[in-house]
Amino acid sequence: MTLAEIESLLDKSFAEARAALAGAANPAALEAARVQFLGQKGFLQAAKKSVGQLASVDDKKKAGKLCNDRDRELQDVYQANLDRLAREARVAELAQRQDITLPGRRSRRGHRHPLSTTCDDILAVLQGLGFEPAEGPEVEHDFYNFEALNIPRDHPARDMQDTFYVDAGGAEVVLRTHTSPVQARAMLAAGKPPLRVSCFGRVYRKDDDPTHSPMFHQIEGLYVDQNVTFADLKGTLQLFAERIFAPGVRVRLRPSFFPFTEPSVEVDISCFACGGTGRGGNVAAEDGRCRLCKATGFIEIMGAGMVDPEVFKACKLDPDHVTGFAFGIGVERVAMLRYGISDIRLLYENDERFLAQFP
Amino acid sequence: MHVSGKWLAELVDIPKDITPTSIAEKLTSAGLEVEAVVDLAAQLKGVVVARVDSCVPHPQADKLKLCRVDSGLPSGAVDVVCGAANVHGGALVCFAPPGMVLPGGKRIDVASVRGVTSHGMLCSASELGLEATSDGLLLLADGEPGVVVGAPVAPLVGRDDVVYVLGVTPNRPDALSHVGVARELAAALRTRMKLATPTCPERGGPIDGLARVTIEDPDGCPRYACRVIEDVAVGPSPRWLQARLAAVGIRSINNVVDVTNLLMMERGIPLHAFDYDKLGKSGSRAAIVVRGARAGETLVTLDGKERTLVEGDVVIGDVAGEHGRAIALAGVMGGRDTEVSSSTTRVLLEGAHFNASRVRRTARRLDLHSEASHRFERGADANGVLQSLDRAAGLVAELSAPHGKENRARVARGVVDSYPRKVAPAIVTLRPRRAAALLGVAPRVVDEAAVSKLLLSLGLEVEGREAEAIRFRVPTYRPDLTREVDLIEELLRLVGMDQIPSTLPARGGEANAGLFDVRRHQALSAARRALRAAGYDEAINLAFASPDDVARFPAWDGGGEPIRVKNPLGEERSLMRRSLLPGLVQNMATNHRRGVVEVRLYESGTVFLGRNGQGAMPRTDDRAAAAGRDAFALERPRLAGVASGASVGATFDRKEAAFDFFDLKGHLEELLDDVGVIGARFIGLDGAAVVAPFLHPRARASIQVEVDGADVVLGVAGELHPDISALHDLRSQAYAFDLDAELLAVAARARVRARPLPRFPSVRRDFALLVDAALPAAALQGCFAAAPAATGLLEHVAIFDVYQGKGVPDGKKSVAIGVTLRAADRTLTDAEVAAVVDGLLGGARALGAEVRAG
Repeated sequence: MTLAEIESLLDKSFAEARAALAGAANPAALEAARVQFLGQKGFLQAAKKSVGQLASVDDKKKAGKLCNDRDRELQDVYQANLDRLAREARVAELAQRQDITLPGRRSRRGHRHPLSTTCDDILAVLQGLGFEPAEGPEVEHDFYNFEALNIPRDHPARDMQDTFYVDAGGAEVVLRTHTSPVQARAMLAAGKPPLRVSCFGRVYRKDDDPTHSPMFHQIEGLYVDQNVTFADLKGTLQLFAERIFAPGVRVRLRPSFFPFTEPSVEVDISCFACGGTGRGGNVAAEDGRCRLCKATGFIEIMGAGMVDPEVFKACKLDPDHVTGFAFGIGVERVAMLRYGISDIRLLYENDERFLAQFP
Repeated sequence: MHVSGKWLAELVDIPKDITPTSIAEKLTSAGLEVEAVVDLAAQLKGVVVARVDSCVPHPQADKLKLCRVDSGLPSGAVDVVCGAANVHGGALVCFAPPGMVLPGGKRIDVASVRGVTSHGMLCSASELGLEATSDGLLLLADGEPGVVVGAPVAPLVGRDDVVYVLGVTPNRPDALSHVGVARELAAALRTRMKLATPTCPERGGPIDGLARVTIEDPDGCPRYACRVIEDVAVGPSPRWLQARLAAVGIRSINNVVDVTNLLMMERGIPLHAFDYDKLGKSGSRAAIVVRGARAGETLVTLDGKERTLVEGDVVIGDVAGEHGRAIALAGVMGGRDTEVSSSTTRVLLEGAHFNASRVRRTARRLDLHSEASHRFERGADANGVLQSLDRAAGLVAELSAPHGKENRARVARGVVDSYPRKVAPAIVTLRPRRAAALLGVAPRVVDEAAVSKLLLSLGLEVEGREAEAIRFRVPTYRPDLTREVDLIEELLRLVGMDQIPSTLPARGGEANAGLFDVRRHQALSAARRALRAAGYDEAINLAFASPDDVARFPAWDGGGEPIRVKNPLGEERSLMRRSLLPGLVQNMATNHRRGVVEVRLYESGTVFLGRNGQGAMPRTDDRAAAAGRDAFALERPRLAGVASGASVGATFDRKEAAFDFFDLKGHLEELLDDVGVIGARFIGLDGAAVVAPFLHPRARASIQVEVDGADVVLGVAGELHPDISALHDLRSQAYAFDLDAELLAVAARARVRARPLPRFPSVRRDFALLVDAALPAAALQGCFAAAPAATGLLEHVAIFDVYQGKGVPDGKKSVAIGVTLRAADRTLTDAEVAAVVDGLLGGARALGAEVRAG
C-alpha cells in the first residue's frame, strides 16, 4: 500500500469505527466493536502492518504517526464508552432492592426464669451492702429450723398441717420452712461477730392454692455485731428497698411479731403502681382505686426485726454483748410485683410461652 | 378480729375530729394491722323507714300481698309485692327502693311479680344482713326515736357503725377483745379508757348451796369459776345486742349465749353457759369436775358431732352416771346435752382459764376451731375471769325479760372460784440506756420518765427502781411481755417508727461463715450463660417426686434410699427428687400437649440422693459441721436439661433441621468450654458402671474428665428412651442431659493463657478412608493425634463427611477427614507434608482403613 492508500484506509474506516465504539449500547456490543476495529484483524492493525512496507522513511514516519493518533483516539473513545457502560451498570445495580421486610434469621435464644433473675438481682443488691451469700440444707434438722430460732415445741408453725416432716427414724427433720436456719448455721459456723450474710434458697410449706406454692424462695439478710441498732435496720431497709424497687420509694415499718426477732416489724413500701397515693396508676380499677396496693398506698413486702436474744443463746452468741438485725423477703412476691404475674402457678409450669417473655 | 367502732367509742375517749381511716392508721402503726375498714351504714344506704298504707291480697297469688308503701318520696306511695306473713296495713317497715344492692348482693329492680309491678322490696332482718335467718319482715315500733317515714334504717338497727377488720399477731391475745384494742387506741391517741369495774347485783341465795367445782387437772385448768342465775327467761336478745354481735360477725342465738359472746368480744375471755338443771348433781349441788379426758371417752359437741377424746384433752365433766360424763370440751366447745335452750330457767355460767398448749392440741386434732379456742390457744387472762363473770351474770339477769311478765331473774350470791395455779404478774426490769442503745435513739427519747409514762399507758406498773433500771409489773393480759427486750419493743411501738433515725452500720471485719461455694457458683453461672446462648430456657420445678419418678430416673451416680416426706401433698409428691429430669420431662410433655414442640429447658437445683451418714443429728459444737456437714440428706447441686424440636428452625428460604444427639453434644461441649473443663470425653454407656436407663441405648453417654489423675463422671447425656417418651406422650424426639454442678466446678481447670498468632502458613489435606462401619470416629481422630510423624505439626482434625450406601461395601463406611498442619517456626515443605500424611495414613491403615482418595 502506498501512503495515500493507507491514509485513505484510515480515513474511510475511522468514522465507522468511532461511531461503533462510541455508540455500543452494552458491554457485548462494545467488545465486538473493539475486536472488529481495534483487534488483530481490524483496520488499524492492517494499516500498521502496511506502514513497514513503505519505502520512504518520511512516509513511514508520517503513516506511523497517523496510525498511532487514530489508535489513541479510538482507544480513548472505547475507554470512555467502557467507563460509561460500567457506570450505568453500577447505577442499575444500585437501583435494585431486596425485600428487607422479610424476617431476620434468628438463632434460638434461651431465657432466664424470672425467679432466678429476681433472686440474683436481690443478692447483688445485698452483696453491694456487704452481705455475703450463704446456703444451707433444704432437708433440715428441727434444731436449726425451729429450736434455734425460738419457735417453741407447740408453736402452730411446727404443726404437721403447716410443715413437711421427713421420715427420719427417730430424728426430727423437716423441709426447711424458711431460710432462717441458714442464719443459725452461719452464726454457729462463724463463731463470733461481726457477721453479715444473705441466706437464700428454696423453702417449703404445706400450702397449695392459687396464691401459695408448697415450695417457694426466700432471701434473708442477717447482720450481727456489737451495738447494731434498730436505726441501722431502718437505714439498711430503706437503701435495700430503693435499690430493689426504685429510688425514692418510701418504706413504712409496722410493729409485728416473729418468734426469732424482737422487736419485729412488717416492712411496707409505697406502691409503685399508684406512687403511694392509693389512686390512679396503671392498674387502677374503674373507680380509680389502685388494685396493686388495694388503695392503701403501700405494699407489704418484708418481715424484719432485731435478732431475739434467745436466738443468740441457741447460736452460742452472748446477747449481752452482741445485737443484730435480720430481714427476709419472698422472691416470688417480688417477681410477681415486678413483672405483673398474677398466678403463682405460672412460675412452676415452665411453659415455653411464659418463660420466653423474660430476658 | 372484727372491731366495732361504736363499741370502741364506748370504751375510750376518741376525739371528735378523728376519722375511721385515721383510727385504722393508728391501730396499724401500733401493730394491730387493720386489713379493712367496713362502713356498715353504707351497706344499708338507701333503705328507709316506710309505712304500709294498705295491704290487700295479690290478685294472682294466694301467698303474696300487694302493698301500697309510703317511703316519704315526694312522688308519693308505690306498689310493692310482698310475701311475708307479718305484713299488714299500718306496719312500719324497712323499704329497699329499686337500684339498691342489699348486703347479701341482691339487687332490687322494678319487677313484675305475677302480673303486678313491684317497685322495691320490704326487707327482713336477714335480708338486711342483721340475722342469719328471719321469719317475716323486720317491723319497726311506732313512736321509737328515729322511726319516721323516709328516715334511714341503718341507725335504727344498729348499723350506724364502722368495722375494723384486724389481723392480730399470735403474740397479742389481749387484742382479741374490744377492751384490749381500746387500750392500744387510748395509748396511741394519748387519751383515756372509760372502763368501769362491773358490778353484779346478787339477789339470789348463796351459791355454795347450788354448785361446787373440783379441778382434778390443774395443769389443764389453772382456774375455774362459776356463777348461777335463777329464774332466767331464755329468748331473743334485744336489738342492740343482736346488732352489736352482727357487727363483729357473730350470730345471735339467744339472750344467754349472746351475753357470753358479748363478753368474749368485749374482754377476750370466753365464757360458757350451761343449763343448770341438766348438770349432774352431787346432793343438791351441781358438781363440776374439770379433769383430763379418758381415752375413748365421747362427747357430742354443740355442733351435733360426736367427738372421741384422747388423753391430754381437758374436759368439763359432771357426776352424772357411774363415772361422771364429759359435758364440755374445755376451752374449745360446749356439749349438746347441757346446752341452754328456750326451756332453760337456771344457768350456770363458767369463767375459766385453760392451758393454751392443750387447748391448741385438742382443737388441732379435732380440726375444731372456735372463737373460744382461738383465744385460749393464744392465752386469755386468768385474772380477768371474775370481772367478766360478774358482768355477764348481771347482764343475763338484766336481759332476762319474759314476754309480758315481770323479770324475776336473780343472780345467786357469790362465786365458786377454784384457782389452784395462780398466774402472777411478771416483773420485768428495763434499763432505759439499753433501750436507747438497741433502738438507736438519743437517750432522752427513752429516759426514765418517758419510759414510765409510755409503759403505764399500757397498764404496766412501776414495781420498783434500781440503779439505772426500773422494775415493771406486767398485767397478766399481756403474757407476751416477759423480758427487757419485750418492753423495748413496746417502747418502739409507742414512740413510733417515724421517730427512729435511719443509719447505716459500719462495714468491715466480717467473719466468713463459709456457707457459700464461690467456685461452684462461678461454674454454674458460666454453664447457665452457655445454655442460654444455646437456646435453653430456665425452668424451676417443685423439688418433690413420685415413687415412679424415682424408679424411672435413678441417679446415675447411685444414691441411697430416697428422702421420704411423712405428710406429703399426695403420693405423687411423697419423695424428694433424686433427679431434675422427671420434672423437666414433665414440663416438656406439658409444652407438647399445649402445641409447643420447640422446647429447650434446663434447671439448676438440688437433688436429694439419700441420707447423709454424718447427718443423723445436728452437731452444733463442731463449727464445720454446723456449716452444713451435719445435713440430714445428701444434697447435690445438679444442672439438667431437655430438648426437642428443631436444631435450626426453618426460615423463608431455608429448611428446618431436626435436633439430634450431635446438637446436644455440641451444646454440652460449648458448656464445658465456657465452664473451663478441658478434655472431657463422651463415653458410650454399654457395659459401663454408669447407668442411665432413661436414655436410648443407641445414643447415650457419660461425660468424663480426668481430674488429678482420676476419671470423674460429670454426668450423662443422650436421647430420651422411647419408652419414657411414649409414657409422657411426647410429640417429638427428645434429648436430655444431667450434670453435677459441684463436679463441674471441681473439673473446671482452664486458665486462659494468650498465644501469639501463627507466623507461618498452614497446609490442609483431605482424605477419604474406608473403614469398618463400627469403628468409632474417635478412634481415627485418636490415632491421628497420636501419630509420631505429626507431633507438633497437627493443628486440627475435622471429620467432614460420613457416608454409607452406594459405592461403599456393606459393613463399611467412608469417612472424610481433613487435617490442618502447621509448624510454629517455618513454612512446611511439600516433602515434609508428604511424610506427615504418610505417617497419618499408616496409622489409619493399622486400624483397617483403606485409603480411597487423598
